[in-house]
Amino acid sequence: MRMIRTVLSLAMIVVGGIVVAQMAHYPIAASFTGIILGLAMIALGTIRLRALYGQSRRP
Amino acid sequence: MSSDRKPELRRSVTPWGSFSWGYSDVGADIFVGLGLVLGAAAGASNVAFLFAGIVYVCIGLAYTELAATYPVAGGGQYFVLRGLGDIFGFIAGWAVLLDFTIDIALFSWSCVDYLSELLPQVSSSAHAWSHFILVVGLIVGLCVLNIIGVRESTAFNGFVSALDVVSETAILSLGFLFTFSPNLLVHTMQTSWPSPFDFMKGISLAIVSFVGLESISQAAEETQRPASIIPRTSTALILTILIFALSYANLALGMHTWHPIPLDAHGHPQMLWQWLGNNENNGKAVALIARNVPYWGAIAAFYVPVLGAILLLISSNSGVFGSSRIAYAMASGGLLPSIFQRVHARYRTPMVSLLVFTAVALIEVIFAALPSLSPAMATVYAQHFNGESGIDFLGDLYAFGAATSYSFVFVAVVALRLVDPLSPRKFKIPVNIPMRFRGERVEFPVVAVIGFIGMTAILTFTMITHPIGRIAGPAWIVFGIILYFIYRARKRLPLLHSRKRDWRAEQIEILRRAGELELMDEYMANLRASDARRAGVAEG
Repeated sequence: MRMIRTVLSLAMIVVGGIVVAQMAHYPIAASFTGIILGLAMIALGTIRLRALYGQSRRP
Repeated sequence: MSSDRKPELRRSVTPWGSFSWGYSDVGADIFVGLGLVLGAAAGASNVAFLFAGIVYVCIGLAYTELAATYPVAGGGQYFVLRGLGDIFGFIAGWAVLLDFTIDIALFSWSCVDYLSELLPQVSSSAHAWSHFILVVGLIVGLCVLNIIGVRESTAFNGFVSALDVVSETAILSLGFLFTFSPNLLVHTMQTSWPSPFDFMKGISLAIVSFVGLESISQAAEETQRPASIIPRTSTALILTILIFALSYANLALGMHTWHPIPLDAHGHPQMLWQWLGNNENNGKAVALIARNVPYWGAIAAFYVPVLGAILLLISSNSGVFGSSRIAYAMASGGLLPSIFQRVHARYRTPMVSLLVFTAVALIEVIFAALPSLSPAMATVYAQHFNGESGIDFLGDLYAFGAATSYSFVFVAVVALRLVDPLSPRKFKIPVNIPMRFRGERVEFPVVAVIGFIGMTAILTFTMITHPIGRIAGPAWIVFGIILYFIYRARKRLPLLHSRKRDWRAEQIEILRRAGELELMDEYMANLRASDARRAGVAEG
């Protein structure tokens, strides 16, 4: 289960990165929403990884 | 154990339970909000969601900090009461109560809209009376279930939330993979950019997709080790909701649909956002998007309306339950008459609160349904309220209540940072300015100020663009304030000032009940150090 969560979190970070990279080519309003969307995905993936492996996971 | 000890809620909610509790409440909002925003903000719907989403992240962080610091079920009204005093606590709580009653009405309404995808006999446009009767039946049914004391279990919430997260992820992933064209998105944004008025209306409706953060604080009182668990689960919740909302908005503007889009009422071709945002479809936009995802849509057409309806019904139920609980908490705090604390002799549930706020929700449903039930009323609405539909009316009031209560919560975050710096904060909103206030070192939260400005802008947009909301919303607040003054005068309580409370003792009790004994020790050490410092200064 932990492995699946790790893979999903990493996938979310990768997809977020792709979204940011792709949307950066388009006009300002479209790219801005895309970049924020990608950044939110990267942040969520990172938070999940920290929850799985970080120091905050203490009993 | 002494017999006069206050009853405590059992702390049995796990991290996933805490997440799913919030998700089943806030996650349902996009099912309602998407169509409303597309109808108003057209090609700028994604930007409208982005604006509201950024403000939502700020308010989400504020709730996370407050719920982790003060893990009690009172929610926004408790934080505002503690930070700003009784009268503002009452106004915030009263605005939250408005939102909960709208929650009941709006989500029951939309639940039937989603069901109408499979049962056309209850469609709001073609069969207004059967739609109305079913909505009323659902609300009355939920009220009865709550009086009897039946609630959906945390396990059921968790199951539905997990199913929904997987389903929405599948819809969005396949939608973006097979149907999304960035060029179409840019084209739609350029050709269908709305007027400033419609854009403001869209932003004010977009906040509807992010309402329900009260559930974070509600879950805090029943979560094990809330100060540790709540920040983790609620930041994940905030980001999940933001990602879904932005994804749906971008997909709806840049999607090549699997099936052809029907012609509009005049027989002209229309774009996807126009079809999703019209009065007939704006209550079930997510189901229509799901149906138009290639291949997956064939299955999604059947299960998404059911899933959406279940999620919306859970959300509606949280309105019935939440309004009675907030009213109960406000009555306990001397903000509402004690009649709202009266419980049913047999079922031990707050029957009066349940009946009163369900009745308010029914009145709201009647107002919302009138234009579709009576052609004469449709003419009146068209003349005086820009022809707003029923679901628009409910959305207006929802946006007003949320913007009002959230604005107060932002101010409460700042106030509590200044007047209560000694309470340990395991989670703090990022970006703070260190300073000294009344001899204590405090941190001024910059994000709360940014969020307050954003939320005030949304409140202003709501007042400018919603002809019913700008009358009914403030009228609700004024009505509440009059009731509050009458009640306080009869009880000989201060009208504008607050009752004296021992916040220190209360905070120790809150942390003890939460099982956060380390934080309780830290708080008591902070108090001793502060008292010693002050005594030293006084002697010096």
